[in-house]
Amino acid sequence: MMKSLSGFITLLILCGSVLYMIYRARKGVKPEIRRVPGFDVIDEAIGRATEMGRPVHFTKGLASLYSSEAPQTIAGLSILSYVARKCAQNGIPLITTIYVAETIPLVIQMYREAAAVAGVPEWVNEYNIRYMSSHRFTYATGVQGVLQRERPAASFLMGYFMAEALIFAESGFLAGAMQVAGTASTSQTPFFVAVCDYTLLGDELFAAGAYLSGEPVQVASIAGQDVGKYWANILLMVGLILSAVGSNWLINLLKL
Amino acid sequence: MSLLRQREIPIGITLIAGFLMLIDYYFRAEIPQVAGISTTVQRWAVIIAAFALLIGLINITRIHLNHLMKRTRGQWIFSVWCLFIMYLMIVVGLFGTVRHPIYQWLYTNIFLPIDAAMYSILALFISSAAYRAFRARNFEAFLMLASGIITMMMNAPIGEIIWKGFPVVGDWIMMVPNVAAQRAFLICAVVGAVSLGIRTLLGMERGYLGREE
Repeated sequence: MMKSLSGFITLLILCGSVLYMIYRARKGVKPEIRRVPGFDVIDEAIGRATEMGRPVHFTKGLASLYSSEAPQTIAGLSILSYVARKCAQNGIPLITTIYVAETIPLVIQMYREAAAVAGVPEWVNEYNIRYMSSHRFTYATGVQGVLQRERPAASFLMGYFMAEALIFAESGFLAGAMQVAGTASTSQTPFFVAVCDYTLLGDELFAAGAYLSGEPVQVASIAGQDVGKYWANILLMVGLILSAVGSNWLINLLKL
Repeated sequence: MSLLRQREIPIGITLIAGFLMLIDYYFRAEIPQVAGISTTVQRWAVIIAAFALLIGLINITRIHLNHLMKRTRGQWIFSVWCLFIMYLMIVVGLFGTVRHPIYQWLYTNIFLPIDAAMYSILALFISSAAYRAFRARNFEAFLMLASGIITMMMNAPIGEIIWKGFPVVGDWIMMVPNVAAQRAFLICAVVGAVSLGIRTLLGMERGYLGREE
């Protein structure tokens, strides 16, 4: 018997809806998605740093590329590539602090491509790509030091975070940085909401790369994920009714 | 652009590895051969990540040597300390194992107290963040302030002495609105992650490889 048939069907529904929206976009139907202030404010934060002549800081949290939280790191890297291109265009330094060592080559490549796209290859300064540590609080100390000493005008915290999230956000606040954060970690989101100027909540973080790319086909995939939310709502409603009448049929069906 | 730097190769590797993991998860019983391949690929990932630590070591050394050579004001002395303690730990750990008394002494008397100090800073940061966040500027902020006070009183021993209802109301806030909101958040996040996964597997999400346009 196949493991988790219900999970597989849900995955197929999600894939089908995303692929259908992509197909529609390719046919020329422009998808409509709601505006997310957190996306629009990324440019504003970089613009602020440009006006103030101060650097931009970016960190993408704890998740490795092969852990269950890896999607958050992928999403963080997508946002980083956008931020790097904007910083290169504006000629301001971008300091990236790193916890996961295997992402260093990716970040270096991103810097080089951003500089090449902006036509300023001299913008790349590999001393601004700083591996801190693969120990959480050593990483937190390093990032705090960067925020306090270099006083960036904008700080982006995008990815999977744990207890160090508040250390970063408060240190950024004390340094006077405009802060945009994004995480799918339920335990750390309240800290970001309380301290940062803008916070990308859950799925907004995952949608950021597609949204910022500006490609209609990628934006369509965000519209496709809304179908997944409708599916989740239907399951919730059916589960609610069945539980009310004392049936555990749906619960047993959805068990892994 | 050289062949190895082309995007098709990393996208292809992502596609193969992604589908391999999906097949392993859903069809392990039907296709048992895939389990061995999947485990091997996961081991490769762990080994590659371990090698990447060497890149991290080179990165730290380069950055701090640069500070040292430039005598960066307010920084170079810390760079000297950072390099000294890092290489001391490496040398002692490599030649004497992590059970060596010197390694143990360094770990217990330098690393652990600093680590604990960093963690304890959180208490101060939570206070200052709460001071700014818990201001009843609008109705939503008032709800957050009220919920915060009630759950704080639920956890504080004095709360129950002041009013016996604090644990009851606090428990309701934690178990009903809090859990409901967290589940909604989690469902949205998972749907978003699956959508990102589909884009990545199809090679449409290329942001993590840098932007080519």
